[in-house]
Amino acid sequence: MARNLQRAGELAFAKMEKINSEVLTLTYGSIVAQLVKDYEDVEEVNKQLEMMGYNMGIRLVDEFLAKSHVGSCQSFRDSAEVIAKVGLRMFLGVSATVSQWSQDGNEFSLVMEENPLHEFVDIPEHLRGLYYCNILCGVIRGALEMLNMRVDAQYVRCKLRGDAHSEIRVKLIEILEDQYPEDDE
Amino acid sequence: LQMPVVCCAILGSENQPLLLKTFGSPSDVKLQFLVHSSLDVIESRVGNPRAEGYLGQVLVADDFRVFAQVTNTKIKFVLVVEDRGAVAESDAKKFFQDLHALYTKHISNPFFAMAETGIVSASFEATVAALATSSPGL
Repeated sequence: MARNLQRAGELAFAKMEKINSEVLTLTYGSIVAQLVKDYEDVEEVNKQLEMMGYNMGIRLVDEFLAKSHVGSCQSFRDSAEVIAKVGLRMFLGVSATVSQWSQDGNEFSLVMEENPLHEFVDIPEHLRGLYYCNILCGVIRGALEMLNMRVDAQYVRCKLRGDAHSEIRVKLIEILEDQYPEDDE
Repeated sequence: LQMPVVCCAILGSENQPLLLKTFGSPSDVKLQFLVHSSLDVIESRVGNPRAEGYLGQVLVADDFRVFAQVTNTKIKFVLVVEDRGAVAESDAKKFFQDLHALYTKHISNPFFAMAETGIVSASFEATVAALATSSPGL
């Protein structure tokens, strides 16, 4: 069964209710700016953004599965493509490309050419270490954890830092076994 | 249609200078003086409720023409061009539209904070300079 993930992504995106993109970017921007003011330490802000994303991801994954009508993934490679072509497209409006698979097939890169959250943003010098969209790393980690995959997702390149594109490196750490309550008998 | 931009200024609601960029030969001091003189004209017109937005040509002095536009938040954009005959209103209007867009894009940055001395940003100055030097006719 050849499933066209690109098409699934577009269909899912079309069905989602939309809001004005400037409202989204300005809201996200104020969240990051406020975190910067509250925590002052850039590493801590990155961590907080990731945790926020994690809390979003564990919830978003159910909506994703319900609305996208994409069946189960057969492999980690499959999961990667689904995140890139359907997940990101559906929620963020842009799709990513999957590349640079590791030899053992447990690591890949998600490359994004554009990101609506970046609109208007210019990171000042003193916030050099900030990963502005770190929330996305958390979303990916949370979503995959609900699907029994423990991963680590980190930004390795960011357009706001001057790189040509944004890139998240996702590493599969372990496949979690379903936890069943112990049988008393 | 020639519109040689020699100076482009942005002033805040209290008329404090937020940005002043000059291009070419005229001295900075002379241009600042022109900008301030035009402020008087702008102030007198802004009282008039019909005078919002594009104000058109507000001053002609020496070899220069000064145009201005005021936003509803009282931010003033001032454009000084060399006087080489009539300047098409549409060119000046377009310039202000583009400048206004650059300005709003810059202040929409979540990390933007207006400094005491105005807008301190090399990238913003560069985009304004690019706009000024690419105006029609140049």
